[in-house]
Amino acid sequence: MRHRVGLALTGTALLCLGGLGLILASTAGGRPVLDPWLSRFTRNDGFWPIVGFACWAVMLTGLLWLVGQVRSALGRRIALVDSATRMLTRAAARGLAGDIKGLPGVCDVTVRFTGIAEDHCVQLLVVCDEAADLGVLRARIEGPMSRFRHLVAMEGLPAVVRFRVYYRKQCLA
Amino acid sequence: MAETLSAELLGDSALRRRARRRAVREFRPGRLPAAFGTALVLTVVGGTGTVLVVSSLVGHRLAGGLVSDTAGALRRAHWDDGRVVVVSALLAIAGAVLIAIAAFPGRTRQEPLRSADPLFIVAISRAGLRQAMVHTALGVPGVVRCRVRMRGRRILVCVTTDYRHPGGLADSVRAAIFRRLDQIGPLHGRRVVVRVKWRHT
Repeated sequence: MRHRVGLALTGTALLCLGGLGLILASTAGGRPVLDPWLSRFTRNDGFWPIVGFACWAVMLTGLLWLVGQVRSALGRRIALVDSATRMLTRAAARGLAGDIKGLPGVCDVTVRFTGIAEDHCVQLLVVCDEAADLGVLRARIEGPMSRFRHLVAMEGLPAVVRFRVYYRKQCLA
Repeated sequence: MAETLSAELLGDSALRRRARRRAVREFRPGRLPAAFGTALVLTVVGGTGTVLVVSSLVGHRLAGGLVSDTAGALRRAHWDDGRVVVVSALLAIAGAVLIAIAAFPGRTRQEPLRSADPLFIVAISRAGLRQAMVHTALGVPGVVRCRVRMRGRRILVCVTTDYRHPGGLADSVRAAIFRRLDQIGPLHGRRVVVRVKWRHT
């Protein structure tokens, strides 16, 4: 959502600048881009520091946006926790994977504990058989998942489950 | 008793709503390539501008010359010059493209599934869902080939049969697909359109 807001704001700024240029091209065609009045202003002592500050603000916005993106991308892949929590979550994840693998129709499970700064999540990739009833499977996963939450002492831990259905015979026409 | 029941029901529907919102947000395309590109361009352009302006203020020769050359070129250029118009048009187009990228929802590779718990977000890949429907349609007697396309809120199923008089084959395929969809439980309801073609074997 934040990316969409950033894109929309940047797009609006660019559209306004471009639109203003096109409007001035059609209405004030013969006038120079740097108007004599504006040229006088550029000779002022305060003009270039203002331009420099504006450029610095643009750079800072871009940099903060980049850092935010890298942070959220990392947060989806790794878990930044202390070693005790890491050991606990690894052991609990192994147990969770074992519990889910034992459910009927499940071929394989990958459990990944991710997130940084108290914003943690469990990502589950469940590969299941073509005959598996995903509705029933979904309901059955909730039991081991609440046990996992209890074990790692994070009762509000969200779980993102991605199902992948495995077909023995490829039948896409 | 009735109050308790209604409170429970309302609470449940609020939970479902929260779960639905969270699932949609989780699997909505993040527009990451566009956001990364825009952030990178902003950083590079802003950084270059800052370096040039600061170096011209402290009296660096190369950067100072560059800034004064640019200012001179802008003084000589007019608003109806070809280059000014092209740059303005490119800026406007880039802005419109960014707004369109931000506004349109985009296509996700994951299809969120129904859940009653906001802490339990479930999805299946779109390819997996499509494959499940192909598999289901091929299980209907008389269907020899099947192709499924998902377009917006519509699922288009094209089945080929070798029955000379298919009769209610389209209805059978539609019913089988609805049963399978009900079992999988996608978050967004979709209209299923079945087209039947005959093939001589």
